[in-house]
Amino acid sequence: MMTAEAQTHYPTTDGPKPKERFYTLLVIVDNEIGMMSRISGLLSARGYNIQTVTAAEVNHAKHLSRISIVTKATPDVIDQIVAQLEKLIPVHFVRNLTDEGNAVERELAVIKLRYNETYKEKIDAIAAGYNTRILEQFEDVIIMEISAATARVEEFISSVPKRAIIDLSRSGVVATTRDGKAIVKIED
Amino acid sequence: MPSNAIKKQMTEKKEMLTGAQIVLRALQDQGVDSLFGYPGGAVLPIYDELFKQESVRHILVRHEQGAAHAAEGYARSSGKVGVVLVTSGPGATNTVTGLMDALMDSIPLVCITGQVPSHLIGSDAFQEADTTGITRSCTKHNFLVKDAKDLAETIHKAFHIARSGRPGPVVVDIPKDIQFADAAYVSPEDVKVKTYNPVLKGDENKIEAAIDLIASAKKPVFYTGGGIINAGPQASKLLRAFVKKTGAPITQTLMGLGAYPADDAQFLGMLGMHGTYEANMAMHDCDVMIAIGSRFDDRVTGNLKKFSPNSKKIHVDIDPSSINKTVSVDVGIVADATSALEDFIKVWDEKNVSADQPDLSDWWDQISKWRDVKSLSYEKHDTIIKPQFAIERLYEKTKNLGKDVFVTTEVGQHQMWAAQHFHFNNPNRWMTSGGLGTMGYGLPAAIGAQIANPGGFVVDIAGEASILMNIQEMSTAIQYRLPVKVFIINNQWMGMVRQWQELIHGERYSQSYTEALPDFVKLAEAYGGLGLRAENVSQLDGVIDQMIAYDGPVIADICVDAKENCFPMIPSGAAHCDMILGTQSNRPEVTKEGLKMV
Repeated sequence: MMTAEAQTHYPTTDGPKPKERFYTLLVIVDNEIGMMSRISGLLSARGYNIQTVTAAEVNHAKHLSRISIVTKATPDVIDQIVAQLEKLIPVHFVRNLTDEGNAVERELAVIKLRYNETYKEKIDAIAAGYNTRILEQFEDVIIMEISAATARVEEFISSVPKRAIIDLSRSGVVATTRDGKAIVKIED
Repeated sequence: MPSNAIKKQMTEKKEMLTGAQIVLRALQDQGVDSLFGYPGGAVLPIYDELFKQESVRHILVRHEQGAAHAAEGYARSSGKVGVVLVTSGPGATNTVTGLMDALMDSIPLVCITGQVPSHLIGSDAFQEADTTGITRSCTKHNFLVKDAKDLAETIHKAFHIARSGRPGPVVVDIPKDIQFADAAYVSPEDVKVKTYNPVLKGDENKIEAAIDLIASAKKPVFYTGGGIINAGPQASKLLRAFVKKTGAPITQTLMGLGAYPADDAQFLGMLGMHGTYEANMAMHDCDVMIAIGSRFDDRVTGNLKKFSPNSKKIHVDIDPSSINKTVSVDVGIVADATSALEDFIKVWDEKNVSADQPDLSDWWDQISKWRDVKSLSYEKHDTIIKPQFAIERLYEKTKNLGKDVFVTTEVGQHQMWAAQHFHFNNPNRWMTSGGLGTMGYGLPAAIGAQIANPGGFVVDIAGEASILMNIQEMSTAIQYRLPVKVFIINNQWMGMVRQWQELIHGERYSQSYTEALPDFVKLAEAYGGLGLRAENVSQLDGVIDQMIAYDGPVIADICVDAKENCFPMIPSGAAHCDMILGTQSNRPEVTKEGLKMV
């Protein structure tokens, strides 16, 4: 079932280039020193903008990392970005989940809020409407996490009174496909 | 020859070598006969091993940038990988321009850099630089070797990556302690790069689609580039065969010159900013464009919005990211040029296309009208040496020398005049800095070409400004008795800068005149070479003859018309069909957008 949250959540934006939109790419790479620098260097050198990048090793035996990139581009430019990424020697392959059209995406935010008389009630009311979890609570501070599609995370953050926010940390997007197949094997 | 069983035993015994020995052994196994380098603290163990052997010849340059360009000249003129060996810190950073040059022009290089010992990395040690960090964006790939057991494999991988696919420079950074450490040697045949498998064979359906397009074309044109040269001499042969079959005209990029013979009737000359009128007009008006091993560089396309507006475009390139990068094409084929041309010819013959191909005679009539414009013509003078004339005379005097002629250039007007007026009929004879436009490329590249071709006649067609950027390599030429010739088109100006200032910046010649040039004749003599000078037309042939006859390095200072401009020219931001011709008095204005272009 497709829920609102399970879709690709960066909205198509109205920019000078009408066909620009957000794309989610998965890059499977050898986890070697300087790998993130190769990727971010390539994107910045060619003037591509990066919305979010996350990376972690997902196959420890083979030292394979999975890098999720969200970037804003036109269809021509995204093809060029994919081709340039695939040119990097340690890159195994790149998947354009947005073009494939079956991405399941999530972003985690950890938010530290003033939980005093002024905001308490409001925060409780807003948090109840989202998939939030309380991580810590002490004195008049509460630390919550929300795990959702980026648009929902954005929505939650903008609903909370600005003055209540002490600190905010976001993970960037991680993603997989809505099917029974592996993007990369995690065994052996 | 040891039997396989013995070989296996030997491998299993795992012969232990020091890191420095591994470097030499790997170079030998890669078939390296010469390398270009400069010693320093962090590579001394490797230099010590070089000293103990004779199969790899070390050419001592005078500046590490020279080493990189020399390796480029060696690679481009031989089809082999050029090898550079330098120390850490400044040794490595001095190669950066050469590495970038090689990346832009797809030249296979392996550059071995020394690094401070592992435990000092990150401590701002003496002559420490983050070499892999600095060279990340100017190499095809780079490695920092952190364990001696990976060293042999890494060097073999570097060679494989450098020479295969779209060739390019690869840096291997080796900390000094790794050079001393013991490890087992690994042979090249045991090494694979699992994530790197360039596609060589083009998609069959696309090959067919391409042939169908070419077969129906009434106004076809081939536009080929350095990829043909990189694919090897066979690609040039196949290109000639296929172009003949189609009967179509062909133009080549600066990097592609020589792949198709310049003296053939189907050749239109070079295209692009200083290309011929007929080449650029044919590109603009064609109905089918066949781009092979060329990358739609901005020097070639001019204004992209007005680029060849009515053509179907076929693009063959080994680099998938080159296809649809700046110009979107109708048929994009990822393939090696040799393989694609083999397939083109095969399918062309199978379909018997030649039999019912449209008549191209109207197209050729049109082309001959464009040719009649004689866009490369210039006003000759009785006494003053025109730069174009100097190059024409050099070509005439060297074309029947009875040896292979190799031409390198620096960057600027002289480079474009050389491309226009020196004619190349074979690949690997023309070495120039196309993509990066590196002044100072020509002399070291000539040295590299001469090392690779000891029997060849190697001449650097230079400008007096460019040559001073790596003039110190004269000393290298003398040391190794390399009879390279430096043919300076001396107009006392940074000619191309001056030309742009004249045409675009209201004749305000800001900093483009060199007030204090050396006496190039005395300079040649100071290095131990022969210095010659021609100041007027009557002296020119004699100087060229003397230069050719002298068995050693020569600097020939050819004093040319200082204000000559390089035409034809597509002004910045203009289209192929808006060229400035040398004979034209009312020149098109450069647009505001064009002003911003380089």
